[in-house]
Amino acid sequence: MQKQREDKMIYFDNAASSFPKPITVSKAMIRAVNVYGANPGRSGHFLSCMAEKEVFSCRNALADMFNTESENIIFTANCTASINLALKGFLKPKSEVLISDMEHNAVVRPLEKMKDVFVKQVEIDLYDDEKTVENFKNVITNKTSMIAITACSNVIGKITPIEKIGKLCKENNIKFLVDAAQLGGVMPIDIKKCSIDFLALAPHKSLFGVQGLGVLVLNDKIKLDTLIEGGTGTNSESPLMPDFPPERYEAGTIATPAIVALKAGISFIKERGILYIKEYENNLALYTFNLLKDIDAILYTKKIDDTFSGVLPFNIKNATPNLVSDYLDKNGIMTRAGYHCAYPTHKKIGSEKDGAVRLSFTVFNTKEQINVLIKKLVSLSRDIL
Amino acid sequence: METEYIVCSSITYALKGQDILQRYGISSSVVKPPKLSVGCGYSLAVDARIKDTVLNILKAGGIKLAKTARG
Repeated sequence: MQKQREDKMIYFDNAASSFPKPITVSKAMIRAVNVYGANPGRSGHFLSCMAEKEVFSCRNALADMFNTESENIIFTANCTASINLALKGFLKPKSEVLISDMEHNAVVRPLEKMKDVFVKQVEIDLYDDEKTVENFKNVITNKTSMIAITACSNVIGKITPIEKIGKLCKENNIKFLVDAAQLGGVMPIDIKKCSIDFLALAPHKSLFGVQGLGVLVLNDKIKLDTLIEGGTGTNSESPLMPDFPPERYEAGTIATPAIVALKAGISFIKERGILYIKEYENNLALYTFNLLKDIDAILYTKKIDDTFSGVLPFNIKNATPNLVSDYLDKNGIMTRAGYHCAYPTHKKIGSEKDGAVRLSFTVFNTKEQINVLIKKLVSLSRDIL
Repeated sequence: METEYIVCSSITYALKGQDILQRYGISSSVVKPPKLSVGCGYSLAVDARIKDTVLNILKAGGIKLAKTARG
């Protein structure tokens, strides 16, 4: 029964965690566990060095992907930990931070906890990037020390104009934190071109890595306060953390199997081509958007253009998102209903009552799968509602 | 051939240094130097005759170095 269900399963919850992964990802991970499962950067013996070389190779692949140096790649526990490190490691009391009205709780909650930091919310215009930049420009003051925004909404799929906002940051000497949980692996991001000081990544989403790992990409000149302290395999005679990256921010043993899995995920993206991936996912979203319109579903964007990713929220009239998602689940289609840890976005798009059903695609999804989804939604409306 | 141990501030810098040297056709290995007291430090073991060239290349590549010693 379980096997049958798995064979027919359609997975549209990739914004929460991508699935399936390329087969090379699990192979790399198994090899790390079975062949060189030693602690990297600690012992100096053959297996420890082998593990460290694999870790370093992943740092290099990420540095190449986001245009920085390998030592500026920091491995953390997850994307949320990366964002916490950037916010709490950089912001001082009385700092002023600008965020958007589409932020995930990974940004909202750490800032809420920092009672002595002033936060202003700025409106993202879903259809006019120039207007969005203007909105930020209008609220910058000489007290603004950081802009912290999502690169792509995990609810509505809107890609924010990070290059233009980065330029604004540079002109005003403001640090720029970008939450790229949904965009890393979907679109090229050059941290120098976009003037990004901190780029937070979720390897288990569109980078096709596995859960249990985060990445923070740092600008060359940034030195943050540490949030956790401990062993690093360097300067052990000192009670202080090293003052250089990445070890300064990587106290304790890092997740080698997840790191080598990420390297395999990056190789997969390179082979497919990141621009191809973006276009493919965008096309699936557009295809679904049009079909959902045909069946009179409730949609939250006027259009899907290339400033949107492969994430699409919807609702069915007279049904709660949970009812729809549960019905789809019973029919082998995985979606996510609710607020998606981003209530401000639901308020913005008008789905704050119950949230929405979210579809999110990767290159492993097909139009045939979407056709099945639409048929099931028609059945739901006809037979249940 | 004598070996020069160039102690790097971290394993990450040692491996990055090894990559940079490789681009210049200079072979090196990342080791814990057997005769040096460097605690947890890692070093690049290179041909001692080209120590100065290696140091120049590494410094130009932004590699943070701790110290060097003949092994």
